[in-house]
Amino acid sequence: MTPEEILSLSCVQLAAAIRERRTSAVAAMEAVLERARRVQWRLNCFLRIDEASALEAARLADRQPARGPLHGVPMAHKDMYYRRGVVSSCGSKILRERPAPATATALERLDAAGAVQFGVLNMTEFALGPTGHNWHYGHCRNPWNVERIPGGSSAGTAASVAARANFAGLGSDTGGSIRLPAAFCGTSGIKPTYGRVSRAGAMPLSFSLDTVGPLTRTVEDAALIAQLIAGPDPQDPTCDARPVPDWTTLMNDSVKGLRIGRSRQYFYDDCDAEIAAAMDASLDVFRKLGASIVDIDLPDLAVYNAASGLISGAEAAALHTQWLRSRPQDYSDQVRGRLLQGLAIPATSYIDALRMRGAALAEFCNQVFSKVDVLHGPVLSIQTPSVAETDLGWGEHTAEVLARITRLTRPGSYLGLPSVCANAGFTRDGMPIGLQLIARPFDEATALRAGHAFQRATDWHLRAPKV
Amino acid sequence: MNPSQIKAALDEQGVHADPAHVSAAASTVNSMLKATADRFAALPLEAEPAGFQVEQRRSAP
Repeated sequence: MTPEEILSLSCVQLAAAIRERRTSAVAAMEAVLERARRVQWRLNCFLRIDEASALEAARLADRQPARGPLHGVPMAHKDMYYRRGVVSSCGSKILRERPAPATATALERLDAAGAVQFGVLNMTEFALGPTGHNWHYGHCRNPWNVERIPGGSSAGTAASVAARANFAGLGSDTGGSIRLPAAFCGTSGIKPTYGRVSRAGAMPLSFSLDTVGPLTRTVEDAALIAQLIAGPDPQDPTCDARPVPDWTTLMNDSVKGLRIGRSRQYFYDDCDAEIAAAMDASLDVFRKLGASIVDIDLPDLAVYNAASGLISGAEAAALHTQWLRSRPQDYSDQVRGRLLQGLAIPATSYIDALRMRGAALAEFCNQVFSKVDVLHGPVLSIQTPSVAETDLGWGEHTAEVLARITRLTRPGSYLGLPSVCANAGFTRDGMPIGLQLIARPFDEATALRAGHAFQRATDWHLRAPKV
Repeated sequence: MNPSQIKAALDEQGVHADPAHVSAAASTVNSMLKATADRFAALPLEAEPAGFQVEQRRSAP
């Protein structure tokens, strides 16, 4: 296979090609390293590329029997997944020299599945921001238009996967950090149910909301990688004990008869017309596949959005208070400003936001999932902002700009619901439009089934940017 | 909370903030408190954070 042919493959396809000796782990690694070198100067999506050790690991993989379903597949991850003794900068100046204390459970599971890590990816400082900007290591750029933002905080993961400089990678999602960059860059991704995937060895931002998941070329890849990293972990007490279903099999079930919910409230308030049209077109695809589209009313998601902000603000501020006192100059202005506001949140309001969460989830499930199997909507109601218009110091205007970006993702974080993202088309100026499919707790299978069916019927996810 | 109260809260915690940060914090925090006030006021005495995990299990397929 030529390097171009290799780079066009999904993880599932590449793993099969390596298994069947149609290509090798070394050939895949050489192709992706060359591509990464070629796009890095334009996209700044990598913080480190470990070329020598990655090639050595690929050579070893070619000599060994297959270790698992990702044997020999090159991957790079958001730079907040620890490997013992190796620096994980977390996109920050503060941690750029600290060796990680332990290896992340998610990385151990990907290693066991045979994946070969070849680098770490740019991200918003401490995963705190939806644009993908990083003032310490340089902003990451959107491969569809380098003047636009890639979205964050998993900016480098989305940009590298979209640019075919990475086959897949881990992101993290506290208020939208997988879903937003997936939508901005046109990749697939899954934010699993809160508690489904271990957070052990991943940098914490807000322990009540943090989730770990992959950004990928296809929903099929997202299902495979999420399945490999999900499941109980004694290292993470919030990790649920239930077994993980076989998502890679279940996602192949038909969506005929599936009830897909659409709400004209909230998701479509002030929604860009091109995005709304792409959502309608994607619902037509589901109709043709035999699903029924059901109009539903939603609870007041603005309340959940605000409650999510209270929790993430207070928890993030608590984690950073010491450094805010002793090293304030080592934060970028925007991140420091966002952290400071968390210190002003009353303790009782933070606790009330947590106390309300069970009732809110019950309310949402009763109102939505008693009528439909999955809720469909856009990830964003605005078109992709430019780097320049979001490269701002912290102030009221910046807070408003960022709030518009996270408005459709933070309610799902508050409710801890799984959400699968897929590209649903492009705007007239060539930027991707993302849809999200939200399911009830621990029902990733249904969201993955819908997303996979959509991608089997469309080809938006196969398009690659010309970087 | 007004900006003076925010600044006092930050000072008390030993954290310095620029006026623009204080002003933005006041605006953002007030907006979140306002949006949630009615719902928080209606929470029953027995509501507790662990109710979320209970509801997750109850709502799962």
